[in-house]
Amino acid sequence: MATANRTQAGVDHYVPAKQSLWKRFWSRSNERVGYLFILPSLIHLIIFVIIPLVFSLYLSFTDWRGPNFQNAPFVGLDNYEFLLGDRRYWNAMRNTAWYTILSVPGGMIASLIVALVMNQKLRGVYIFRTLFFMPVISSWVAVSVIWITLLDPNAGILNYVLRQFGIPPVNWLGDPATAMPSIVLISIWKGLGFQMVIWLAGLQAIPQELHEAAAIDGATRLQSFLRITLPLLAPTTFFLAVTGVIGSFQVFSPVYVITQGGPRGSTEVVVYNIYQRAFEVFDMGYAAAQAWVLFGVIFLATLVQLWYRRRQGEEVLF
Amino acid sequence: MFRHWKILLLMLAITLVPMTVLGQDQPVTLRVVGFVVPPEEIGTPLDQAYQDFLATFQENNPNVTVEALETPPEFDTQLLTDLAAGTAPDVWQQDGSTLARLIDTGNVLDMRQCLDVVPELSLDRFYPSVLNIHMPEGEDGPIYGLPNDFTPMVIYYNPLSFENAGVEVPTPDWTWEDFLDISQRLTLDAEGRNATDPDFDPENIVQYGYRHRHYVFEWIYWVWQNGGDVIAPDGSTVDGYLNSPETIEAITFLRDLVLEHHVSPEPVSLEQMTQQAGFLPVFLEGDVAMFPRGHWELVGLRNQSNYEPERVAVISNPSNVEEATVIYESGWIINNAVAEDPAKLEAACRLVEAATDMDYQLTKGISGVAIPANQAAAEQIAEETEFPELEQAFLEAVAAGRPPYGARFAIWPIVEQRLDLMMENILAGGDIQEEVDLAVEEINRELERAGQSGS
Amino acid sequence: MVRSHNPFELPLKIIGYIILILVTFMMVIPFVWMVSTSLRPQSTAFTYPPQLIPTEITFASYELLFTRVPFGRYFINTLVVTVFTVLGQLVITSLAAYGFARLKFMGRDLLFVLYLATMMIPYQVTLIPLFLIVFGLGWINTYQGLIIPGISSVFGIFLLRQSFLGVPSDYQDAARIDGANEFTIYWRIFLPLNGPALATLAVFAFMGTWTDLLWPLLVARTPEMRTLELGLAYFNASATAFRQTNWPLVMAAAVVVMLPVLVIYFFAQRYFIQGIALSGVKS
Repeated sequence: MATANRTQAGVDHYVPAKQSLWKRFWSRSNERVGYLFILPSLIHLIIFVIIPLVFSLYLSFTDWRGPNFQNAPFVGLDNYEFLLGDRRYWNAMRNTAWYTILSVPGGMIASLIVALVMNQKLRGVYIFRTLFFMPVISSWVAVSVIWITLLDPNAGILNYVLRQFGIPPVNWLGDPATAMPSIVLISIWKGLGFQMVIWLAGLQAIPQELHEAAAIDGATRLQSFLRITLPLLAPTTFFLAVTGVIGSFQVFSPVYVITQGGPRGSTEVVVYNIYQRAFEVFDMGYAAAQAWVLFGVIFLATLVQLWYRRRQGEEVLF
Repeated sequence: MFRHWKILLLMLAITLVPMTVLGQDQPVTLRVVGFVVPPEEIGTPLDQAYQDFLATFQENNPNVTVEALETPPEFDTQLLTDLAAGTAPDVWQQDGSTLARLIDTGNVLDMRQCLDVVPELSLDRFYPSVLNIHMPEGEDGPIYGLPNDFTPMVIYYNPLSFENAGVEVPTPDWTWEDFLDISQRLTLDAEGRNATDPDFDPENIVQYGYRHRHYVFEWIYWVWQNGGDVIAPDGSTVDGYLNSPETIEAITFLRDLVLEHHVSPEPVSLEQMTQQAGFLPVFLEGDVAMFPRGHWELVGLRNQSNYEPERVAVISNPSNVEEATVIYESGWIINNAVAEDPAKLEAACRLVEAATDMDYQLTKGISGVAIPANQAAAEQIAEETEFPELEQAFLEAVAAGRPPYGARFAIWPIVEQRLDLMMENILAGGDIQEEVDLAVEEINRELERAGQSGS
Repeated sequence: MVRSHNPFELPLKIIGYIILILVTFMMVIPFVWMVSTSLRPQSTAFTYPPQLIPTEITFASYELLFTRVPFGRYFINTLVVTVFTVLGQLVITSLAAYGFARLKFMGRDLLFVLYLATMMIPYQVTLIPLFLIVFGLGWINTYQGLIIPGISSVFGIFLLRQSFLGVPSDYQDAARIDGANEFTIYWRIFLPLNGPALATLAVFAFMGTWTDLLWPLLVARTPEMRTLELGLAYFNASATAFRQTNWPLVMAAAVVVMLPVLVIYFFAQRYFIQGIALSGVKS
């Protein structure tokens, strides 16, 4: 078998396949190598990710309330049925979507501007880059205390600055209308350095010659940015958009440490809901059901992005 | 004869071997959370008290090795994963407000098993209303854990504010009517007029009478004081309780403190007053005369830079139909798994016995965070303290104390959140009946589901 | 040099600096706050109105941290865990990324969607099963328990895949015609060409592992196994309603965890700069 394969290896690339699926599967050297490349990650994924995932899917059909997994009673779709009418959950879902709509484009645009500036040959850019990276590595607990102080309606710096422009003080975290935007602001601030680094990696991959050629042809900077930089950044944009949406739908830390869902439920988000179910009332079965419905929503949002990218003529994708 | 003697010896050996295994001399290791201070407090008197306790216990129980574990950050998360894997500690401290969900997991030992093994462990040492927290099924039911320390919710007041407004300080027999009257006379506007004055200006209040917030842990006992409740005793429904006339009346009374009589700051004003430095300095300055809180806040108040002893006094809650407050508590829990090994069970029971006896409980006075659950220890501390009348006020409130509902209903954290939201909406101007009806509907959905699971 | 003839060069640079300085203010003021809070005595942690520069400076919080914590041990633990996690992630994710970006095999795209999909479930519901697996493997309180679950990341695979997609396919085809096997192409062409992306991934893996709290909390059970972040979190761990949070201490701990990462980031930055790699590779 092995020898037969080896003799065929040189030609089978050009032979139109009239064999069974199984034979074709093993006859392409290219394919087998592909599996080899992803094998380590696949094994890791199965053991440490897929198995726990499947387990949580199973739990979502049970009424698990104790630490003992063996005797969780199977309840079929009960958890999902309950979830359909769970107003708190859907309120959280709406808030989460709102958070995502504000934070993903906001964060991407802000960090792209910063990255473009950073990509210039400016003096001292190293120091700036390091400074901008600070929020990324600071702990959420520390960040929350700092921002609660900065957003204080009376003594906070933000309101102080606004007052200089004649804008009356805003009760940022205390008003249901501004609490979520404030959380978004803090998240963007904290994630800016993270996204900036990814944009920079993308920008670095664009050959400088292209810009120089465009400049010779008389293109302005803006034209050069729109016609060359932006299209060539497409893989990075796509990456940030997809991971951004996936991450934003799972926002938890800022809500957990800053507002705990308040005021008046305006910053309740889905994962905070899940956390409370799982670890505050030990209602893991229902928490798992909530998580899998969230999964469905994120999955749909991602499919839309994939579809959009494909429609733009990107054939390497699916 | 000789032969018989040998058989006798053999028989003796057969009976003795298991007895020794079951007996006290079997070496046992207990993993215990609750006797290690966080690193920043090493060397403090509290640390010393813990070490002394462990040393004494070790001396009295030479076969037991206590492995004292630090309280980890995110203890709940670690505990739940540990219970799932079977690696949870043998003994730990548990907040009474989250006890029910833990009982539901089946991991909490019924302490009646301890009473058989360690006769010295008498239940008489505890305040009955505190012990009651651990007995969800009543007098003859199981006892899930035993009390460690606790506090009833009381009203803190600042005598300075009373002086400013020329109001007599209240007496423990006060009623809601007295409370409202006092609060109104304590609430002053910029011109020095109080809230009973027809010209009183609610836009420029400089001193408030009371602080009412939306958190149900601070107002549930007001409902009880009015003879109402928020949930059925068996936890099956809130209909007929949360929307009963007594409860609505209590909610209306509390709402009116804020929105009608202006004796309590509206949420937005309160936030502006307190966001920077917290509430305590504001209270000590006399800007808010009274607020509901537990014993722990004495420690918080004493740490403030503007603290002076004459600015802090405590009184039990006013009553309307009956006297009532809630008791927040921390108890000792023994892991059910311990019962599989009789020697371990005995060791764990002895540890809890030692941790609730007079000697150790007296050390609760060191931090002053909570009141010892051991009645004799609590009374002795109250006598020997610098401010006996303060401590006395707390002890007087104990008798009317009821268990927190988190010790009764596993689903309570979810209910609690919904009730918080309900009051938050009401204080933001929402219609009481509408908000209550909505809460009843949503909470009952949860309770119905919880009931189906048989918990 | 064509660029120097561009008349917009100077104003653009000025605008660039203005943006940088504005953003710097926004980024740095909160951090100054953090440092200044960590230098205050606990009693004046919050004053009104707030002072950016404390009037009274004390190093008490840092002293407490450094005298009460076996820093050497925690530091070494964190380093071991972080280094192996980063190395593992670089190897495993770049291999997988090459497979997904550059090789055709049956079910590839479906598999990739599956990979992506695993990112869409919040860890809160998989934490306990994952813990049980690691427990079943007997890895509680071991380095492998701290390291192995983190040595691959779908995020990293996705990141590198996008970067690999940007490499012109000519390079790959030319190398194949020369008889290079896929591993050689991956090793000799794709890794060198994607320096910035690999550096980015390394930084993220480093940062994520260095500052992780939850997983070490569950796995490291004795003080000897604790990481820096976990060890510091034990300070004030029992901060509840009953206790006042010691904010200067919390801030000092946050600064102590951050600093090593910042220093490494600062010096690692040159790896983000591509240089002339692209035009340098010819088969």
